[in-house]
Amino acid sequence: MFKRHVVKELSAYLDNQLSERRAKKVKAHLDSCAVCVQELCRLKQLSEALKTWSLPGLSPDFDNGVKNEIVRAELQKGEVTMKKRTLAILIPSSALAMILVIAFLGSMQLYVKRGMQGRFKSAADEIRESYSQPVIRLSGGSKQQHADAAYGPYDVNGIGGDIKRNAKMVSGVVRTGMISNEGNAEYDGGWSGADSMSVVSGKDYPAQTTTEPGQGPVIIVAPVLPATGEGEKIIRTANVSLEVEDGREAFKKASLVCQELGGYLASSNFYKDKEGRQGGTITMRIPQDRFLIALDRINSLGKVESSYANSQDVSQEYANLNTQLGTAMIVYNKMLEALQKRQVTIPEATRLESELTPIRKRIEDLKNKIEYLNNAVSFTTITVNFREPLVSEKVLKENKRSIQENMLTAKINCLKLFANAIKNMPAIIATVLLLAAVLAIAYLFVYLVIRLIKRG
Amino acid sequence: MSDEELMCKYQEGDVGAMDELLIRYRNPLYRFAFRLSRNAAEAEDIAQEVFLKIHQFRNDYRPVGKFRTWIFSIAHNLCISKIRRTKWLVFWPRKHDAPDELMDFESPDPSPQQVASGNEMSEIVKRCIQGLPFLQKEALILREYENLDYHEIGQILHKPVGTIKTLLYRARVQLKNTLLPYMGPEGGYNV
Repeated sequence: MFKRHVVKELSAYLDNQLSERRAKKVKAHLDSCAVCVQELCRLKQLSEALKTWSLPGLSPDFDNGVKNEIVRAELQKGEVTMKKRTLAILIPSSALAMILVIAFLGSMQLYVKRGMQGRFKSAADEIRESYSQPVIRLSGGSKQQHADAAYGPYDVNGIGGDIKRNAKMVSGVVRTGMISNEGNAEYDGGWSGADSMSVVSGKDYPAQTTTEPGQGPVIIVAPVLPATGEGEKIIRTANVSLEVEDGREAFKKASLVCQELGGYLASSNFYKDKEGRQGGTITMRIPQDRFLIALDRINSLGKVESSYANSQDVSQEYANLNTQLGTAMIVYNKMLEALQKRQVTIPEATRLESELTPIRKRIEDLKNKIEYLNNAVSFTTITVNFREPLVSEKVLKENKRSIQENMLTAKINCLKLFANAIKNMPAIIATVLLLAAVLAIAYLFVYLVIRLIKRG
Repeated sequence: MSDEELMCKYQEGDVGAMDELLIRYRNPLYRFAFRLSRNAAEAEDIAQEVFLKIHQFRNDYRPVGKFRTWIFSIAHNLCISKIRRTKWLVFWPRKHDAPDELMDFESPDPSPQQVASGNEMSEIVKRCIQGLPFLQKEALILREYENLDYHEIGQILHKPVGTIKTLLYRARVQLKNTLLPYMGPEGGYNV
């Protein structure tokens, strides 16, 4: 028998859930304890009270509803099976695709690491090469030539500016076409189509090849002065207008050409206009046998805007002067001889002397004229007008070059960026996955905290 | 034929066994669900879902324990899932829901006004039982209304028998304290 109250046991005792031995003890205690009996009565009363909780009836369609749900579930089961089958295909396929992608990324990474630097270098070199093509310049009978290749047709800009020839380079010899001054040939320069009737027949000129820094090989063909004939006296003059990139440089080069060809500067001026363009005029005297060389070299200093050459035949005048000089010299010599041999009176000597003076003066004049003609014939006159263009090609070229370099840099940067992106793709994917995992953990943590809070 | 035999027959494809099981258990399950949930519709849904689960998992059933225990444990799990879902929805109220639908947390103890106006012991008992903690309430319902023994209740709630005993004792003490003012000294009710 329990000596103390068995209130805690009464609930189970009432439900008849105590063991037999324990139930007997409780019963024995209840026989002697009014408090516990009262408590048991209350529990019974409570149990009775609980039975009063009435419920609404179940819907009559409950059974049909259950059966319908079962049928629906059976129908859905087929779809679920289908979905499972689809997933059974999709999941391995996705895994395989992922493995392939990862393998591809890995191989790309290796490829990029091993070959990217060299490939980029070669790609960059190719791009650079595409921007810098070789320039072959041909000077001499023909001017500047831009050749597409070492062996092939090329265009030649003549000094007249409009000459186009097709020729081939054969063993270092430039074979030029026929040049005639009759006006209907390829040569259209004003300097060659004037008074001179000389004809230059096509022939092979030995070529010299020089190299200018950054401009490719330059072939200089030594020109041959047109024949003037025995005793012919021809005064040659030329006027060339040039548009040059750098006026000061052009001035220096023109002076140098004059000096190198054995000539001299007759006059020169140099100026700078309001727009800051430099220009000038140089009049140079060049030995007649180097007239064409000088013209070629001057024309190569810049873009030829106009070129004018003139040949004035002074052979007749020269011959006349020589004849007059000879006659005057005979008269003068005879009078001088007569004056020296004969014994003349003073008045007569004075008369002879006064007659000799104009003859001597005339002789001097004729000599001067002949000397002038000789000078004019032996030294040709070339006047060079040069000026810088309104929009400097130098600046344009620099801008163009700068743009090209920028484009090249941008292309290389794009390639590098792309390569870096490919190289870092696994790291990016890993980072994204890691971030997703962290977010998932954070979400789980928040969810658990909320759940704990809700549970109190 | 026992419940276990019926279930075995249903496992073998006897559709008529389900009808018999429905007859036997539709009301107990409905009552159990109704007392644990808020309203009749929800209780009916839960009961219906229990039978659906029986159908779905019929092949998993092994007649080692009592069928009644198995079917009530399914109902217990469904009730818990339902309550958890409801809690979640309450915690995250929808924008267009009427506030009184979600914020209707009335005191489980009946107020004197309600008692005076309702004047029905059934309503008082209902409110008092609903005021109990979930496990106490569940254990009490299974014991008082379904007449299951402590061992069966323990299997359903996944608790040892001692725990069930304690749960029932505490539930009864609380109910006694709340219902005592309405109960007469010689039996009967003061409502």
